[in-house]
Amino acid sequence: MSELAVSTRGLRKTYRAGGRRIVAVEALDLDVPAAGVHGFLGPNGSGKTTTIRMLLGLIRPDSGEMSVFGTPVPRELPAVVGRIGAIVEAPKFFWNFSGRRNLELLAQAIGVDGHQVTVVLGDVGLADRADSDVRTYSLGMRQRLAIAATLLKDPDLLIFDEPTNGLDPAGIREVRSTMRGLADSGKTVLVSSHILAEVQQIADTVSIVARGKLVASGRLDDLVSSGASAVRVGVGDRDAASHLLRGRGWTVSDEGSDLVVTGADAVEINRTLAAEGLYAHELRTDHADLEQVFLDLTATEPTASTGRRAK
Amino acid sequence: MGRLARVELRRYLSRAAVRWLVVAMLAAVLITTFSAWRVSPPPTQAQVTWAQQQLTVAQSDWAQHREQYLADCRSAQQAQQAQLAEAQQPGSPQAIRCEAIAPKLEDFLPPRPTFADSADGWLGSVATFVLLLSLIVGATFVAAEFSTGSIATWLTFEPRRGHVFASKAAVVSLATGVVALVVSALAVGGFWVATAVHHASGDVTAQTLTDLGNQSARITAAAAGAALVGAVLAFLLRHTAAVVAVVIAWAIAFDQLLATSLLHAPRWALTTNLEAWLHGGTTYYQEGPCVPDPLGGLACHSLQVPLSMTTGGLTLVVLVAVVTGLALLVFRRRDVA
Repeated sequence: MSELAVSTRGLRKTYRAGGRRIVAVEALDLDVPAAGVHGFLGPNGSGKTTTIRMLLGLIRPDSGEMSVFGTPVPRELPAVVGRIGAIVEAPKFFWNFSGRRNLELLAQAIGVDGHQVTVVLGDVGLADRADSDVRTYSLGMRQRLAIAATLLKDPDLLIFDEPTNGLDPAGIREVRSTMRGLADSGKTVLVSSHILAEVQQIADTVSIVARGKLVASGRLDDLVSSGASAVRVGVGDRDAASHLLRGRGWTVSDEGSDLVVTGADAVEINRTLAAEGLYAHELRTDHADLEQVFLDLTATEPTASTGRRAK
Repeated sequence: MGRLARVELRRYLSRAAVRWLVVAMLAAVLITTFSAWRVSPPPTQAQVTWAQQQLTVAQSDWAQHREQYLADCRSAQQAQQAQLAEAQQPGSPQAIRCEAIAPKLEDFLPPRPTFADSADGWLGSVATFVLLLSLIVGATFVAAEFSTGSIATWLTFEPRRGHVFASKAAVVSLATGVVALVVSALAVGGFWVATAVHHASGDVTAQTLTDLGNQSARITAAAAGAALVGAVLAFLLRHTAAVVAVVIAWAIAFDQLLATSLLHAPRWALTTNLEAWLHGGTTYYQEGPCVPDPLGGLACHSLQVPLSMTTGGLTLVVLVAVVTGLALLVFRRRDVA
């Protein structure tokens, strides 16, 4: 078994709100393999950020075990924190200090040479605005400053919580490219997001959580291929075809001039129709994507990326 | 730890809020110095002429009624001594001195404070501002981290919360103490210049300067403590305004209502102990035993109780230690959003 960058077992966290206990994370067993990009997916409020905060020692779990590179956290977090760079939700800095001053303070705290500040500011494209106060930065610039802060340590594990929030398309592409580049250089990138299309482009492995529980985990390719695919059928006598296919126990729905069939592949459907003298003029397989898998697994939670509900 | 302290010191020196609060302390020095300059000039010719006229009238009156005035004075003197004896506090330094009641020219001139006799009082006025501003410096230094959320970023770089707490509290306390020392020294220097230009330095002895040095040292320690209290309360409350509100509420609810009015224990009021520390000792009034009076009622006397500087200082140290310990405990255990 490959080394795990992050592992949690039986992780649980509850909050008290309005006089009752809210379960944020429940019995979470999460494994993040070392090296590569691991997408940590889930609808808003599913416990992603809470889990990340627990890993970083910002909040205390009610129960459960966590480790980073085999080191139990938060008990021995100081021993491993130098290998972790993290951005949790919105980047948080001293607003009245320049970006450079903020990074200099962080660099000094961990004993990193001041020259490295200039290097990482250049890496994230903030060299020109490095001496402006953070309060004058756009959200995208603050996000880039946060990425620069994580790079100060040259960490082995980078944790990005919704890293593209507030970024323009060019910025999103840049961050995506940065994350992929870091993973390709041997680092582990744990990225939490609800924007699935982005994660699908860069993730090697994913974990999906819903209502605080892990609902799926594994390689992205395996997860997507396990999802239900549908066959779009164009046929002359739609009523007869629909009746016939339903009779075989498959799910059939009307979508415009086509029938959409799930539960069978294109070959089976074609053979069945032809046997009854019904000839399809179009057969197209729509493979499930990560979004479909996500919606199926997280069931009925609308997501910001689509605004649709899962069936 | 040393590295963290250096970072915190750098942040302390970079914070605009700290700079503005130091400017406010200097403004308090300037205003008090200006006030000292305003009250210390020699009397004008008009004031002297008027005083001499008044003195002539008073001396004429004194010549006619001298025996009566002295008798009245001695009667009042005896009454005061009897009262002091009853309160078991003979020999008050403020006893009436009848030999000094003959009219003199300075009785009719405007009061003219000198550096020698008034610098400690002026420095005490500056200290009030310095302590209040030190409290706010400490509070804003820590609360800013919670309000911006940068404490979370900080903890992802240094997760040892005890170290984070200690570095912030120590730096803001020591740095503010140094600021207070400089401000006190500037204030003493300013008072000297303000009075010297009017030839009103008075009888300045080595003891005068030693006393002012000791007072400055006590102000420095108190300012360091105030900044520490501000900082640790900010760890608990996370907002500067909340810290200031709690301190004001404490002064009203605990000091005035509970300790003084309800429990009749002003010894435990924060302000009593602070006053003892800043002034090198103080006295407070404690309700004494009530005894039957000749008319059949009860006569209750307040006792004037001394509180030494050391006792007041130790009380404050214990209080600060308790609040600091509580804040550390909470910060180590509380979730950081």
